[in-house]
Amino acid sequence: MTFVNKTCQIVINGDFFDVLESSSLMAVLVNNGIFNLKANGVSGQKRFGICGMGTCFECEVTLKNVGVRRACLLKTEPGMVVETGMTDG
Amino acid sequence: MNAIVDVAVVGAGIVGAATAYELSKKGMTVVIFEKGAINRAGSGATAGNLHIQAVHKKRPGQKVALDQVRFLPLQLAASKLWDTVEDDLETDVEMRRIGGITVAETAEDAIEIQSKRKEEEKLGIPGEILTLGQLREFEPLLGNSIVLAEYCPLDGYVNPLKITPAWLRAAVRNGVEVFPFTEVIAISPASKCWKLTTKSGSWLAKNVVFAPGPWTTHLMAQIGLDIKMNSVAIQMHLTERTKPQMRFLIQHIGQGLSVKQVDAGQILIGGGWPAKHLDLEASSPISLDSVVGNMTLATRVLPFLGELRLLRAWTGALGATADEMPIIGPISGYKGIFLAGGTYSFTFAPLWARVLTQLITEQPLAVDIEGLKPDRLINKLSGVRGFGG
Amino acid sequence: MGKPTPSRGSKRVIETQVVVVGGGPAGLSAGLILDRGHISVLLIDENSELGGQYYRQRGALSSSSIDNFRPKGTHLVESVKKSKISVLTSTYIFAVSDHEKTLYAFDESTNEVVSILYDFVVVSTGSQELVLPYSGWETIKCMTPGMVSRLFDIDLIEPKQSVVLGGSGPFLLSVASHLLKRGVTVKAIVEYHHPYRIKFISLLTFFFPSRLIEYLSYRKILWENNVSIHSGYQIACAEPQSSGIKSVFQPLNQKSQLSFTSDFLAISYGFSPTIELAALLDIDLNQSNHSRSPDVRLSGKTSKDWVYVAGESAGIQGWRSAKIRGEVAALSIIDSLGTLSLKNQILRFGKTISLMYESLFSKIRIYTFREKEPFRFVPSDSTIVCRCENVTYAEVKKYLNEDWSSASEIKAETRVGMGTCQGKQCGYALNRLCTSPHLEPSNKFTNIRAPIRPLPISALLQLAEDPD
Repeated sequence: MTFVNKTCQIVINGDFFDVLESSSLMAVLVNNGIFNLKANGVSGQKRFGICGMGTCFECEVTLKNVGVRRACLLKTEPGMVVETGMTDG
Repeated sequence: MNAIVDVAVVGAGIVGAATAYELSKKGMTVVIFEKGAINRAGSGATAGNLHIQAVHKKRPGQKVALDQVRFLPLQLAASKLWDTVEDDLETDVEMRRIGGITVAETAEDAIEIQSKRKEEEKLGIPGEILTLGQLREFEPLLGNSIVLAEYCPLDGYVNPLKITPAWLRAAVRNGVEVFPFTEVIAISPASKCWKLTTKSGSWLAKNVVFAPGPWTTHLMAQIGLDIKMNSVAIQMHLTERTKPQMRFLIQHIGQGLSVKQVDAGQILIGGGWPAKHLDLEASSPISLDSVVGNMTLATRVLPFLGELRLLRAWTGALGATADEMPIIGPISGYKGIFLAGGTYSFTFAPLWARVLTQLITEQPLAVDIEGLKPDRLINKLSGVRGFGG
Repeated sequence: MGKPTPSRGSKRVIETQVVVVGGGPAGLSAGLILDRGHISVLLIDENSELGGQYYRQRGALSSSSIDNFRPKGTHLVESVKKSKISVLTSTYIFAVSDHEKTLYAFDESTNEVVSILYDFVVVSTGSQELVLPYSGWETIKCMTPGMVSRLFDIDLIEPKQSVVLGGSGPFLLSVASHLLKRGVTVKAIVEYHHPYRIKFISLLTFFFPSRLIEYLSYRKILWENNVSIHSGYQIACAEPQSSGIKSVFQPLNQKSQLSFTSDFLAISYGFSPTIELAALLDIDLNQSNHSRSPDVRLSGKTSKDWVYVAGESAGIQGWRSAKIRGEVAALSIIDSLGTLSLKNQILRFGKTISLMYESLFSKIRIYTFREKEPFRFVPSDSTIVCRCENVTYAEVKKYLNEDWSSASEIKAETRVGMGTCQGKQCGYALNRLCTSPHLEPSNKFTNIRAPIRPLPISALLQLAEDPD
């Protein structure tokens, strides 16, 4: 599979990051030490997720103009604006 | 063979549980049989609303309207009993008498609210009309399609998952024996009492209280009776948690709607929308049409819901009657047998428990049950021997 | 057969002969065979890229010097993209219409509901790892082997970190091996059973040479890297410390505790078929071991003749079997349309024989790893049983011994299973706790109904009928 290795900018929690377009969002989060993805709705404890494949729902982040999405299922897109740390609904 | 008990209760939903407890307070020996898990049918699946102001008359798809005015004295009596439940049980069942608003979207609906308010006033049920100008100051979350509403401070809810087990635990503390997963497979007359047969053995009981909800048809048939029921499965819907923002129970006078925010933060949305079909053996399947219908209505009345996510939906079977009214009382020709249930059994549970206890102990009744007795819905089944007299 | 018109006003309507749900080895294989048979296919995946778990794609590579992780998978994904198959990613089915011949899906990339009118559906939704709660499992960087493998192999996170793997199953060896190849330190593999003792049954693996070679290659890598496999232990607790996560494993028979410290702790006990869509479609399901699986024949046919199940969601047999099942299901659909050529009939016959061969190996795996036995589950009071609702064992304990105890009653009293994941992480654990004589079958606890994911209400409203 060939990709044109294009970089793009995304925003995470107000900070700008230069990333490869169409790469794993989870990789960007982990490589930048952002492990507090969603706060548990009962205890408020920050969680990162356990399954890595969309079944535990603990990695949910907020994408501006899109909604709440599981980070483990996302690819980076130019102009993506991500907020982590929401409380589980 | 076990010793003769005073009362055998058939059905451990909310009515059966409340009744078993009420009877046990009078020192009676009580056993309660439940064919499956306790609180699993309508009682455990319902919204848990306590309706004190006059109710909406027809669930979506309901053909016969209930008699809204006949309900009122029963609702008031139930309200007073609910006031003492938590103290009596000495346990937290998430009882929230937060007050309820019933909305109208059309002129016809508005007229109905005005007339029901008059009937409520006659009985001393507190409440006030909220005009168009007052509505949104009272409850800013209400949508623009609402033209009039009524607020009643006595409306509220209790956690349906907690109340039935709490009543059963209190009953057990008073010596009641609970037999879950124990189906009553036969009922026959014995000498001055009734014999109930289950797979685990037989019991003799001087009195039998049937509170089996949608299984009423089946159990009545076992004693040779055909009863006109209209059992149905209805749906409930739950959103994800959200910040506390709803203060009242919201209902609709002309359409099926009940919306409230529970302690856990989630919004519970119902209104009697029908499941795909009624399945008494397994779980009745969800109807997508009902999900969409219920949510569309809810979002029109409370627009903020449009920003939330629906987490899950479930169904529960209810023993509604052919005339959509409650059933409470003895059955002619069957001394010692009583039936309780029908519509709004959740709100009426402590009231029916009290009335059944009064019937069994031959005390004056807390409310007039004229027109609500089982006889009105019953015919004898042909070919079933051994009953009557 | 005629397709019913959608009774709802959703704007996106797709008509297709076959909808394949899940773009892993099974779904990709099924789609390609159907496409070659000139049948219209819609392939849906919840992820933003095809491949499922086993063929998860790396997306943009950080450097061309990093080899393609699983080239066969990449080739399949590329083939699908070049074919006439319509692909919808970031999309999941959330409901089935009341008349069952329309599926409703939510496209997370556009916030739109899609109505899918179909003749056949291939359910290839794969599996998920089986987890059991342990004290401290909610700590960040405690996860499943699948997740840790994804982070290092696919997301290419910094490899100079350490991992402890535990639980049960051959997957632990496979993950360890891949991690070691990436330069990750694997401190230990801690296996619940004793599957690696040489027994008589070990001789049977000679009939599965590719499996045997794979196993030997894993053992070689472990040996080269001095990684021990400890057998007969179960994770007891995980504690976050400044130097990483301290994991403590209890022995199942005598011996003393094991303790490690690592950056990541990855625990799982095998796999469970993902059956939500199968349940929504209301096909017959079987209860076996710890999980339910669809009642499905070798051909992929189920109790409904328009519903096929292929891959791990039909039963855990590994990726080779998943691909073949996908192919066989596709060939069976072509057959039921009356257009299966003689050549393809022979092909299908051959593949069905392969499936039997694969199924035989699965039986060896099930026996070796004692998968029919329930795993011991003795939580401490503070162990969080339900992650979503943060319910501890102490709270659940109160309701285990009532006359009417059951899984659904415990759920009602404690809220276990009522959170966002709807029992996917705690379901097995709850059933293990309910040992009362009136244990309800697990389908009563995790009753699967629409919506099978948290669904924006605004999306649902798209299904309201357009006012005329």
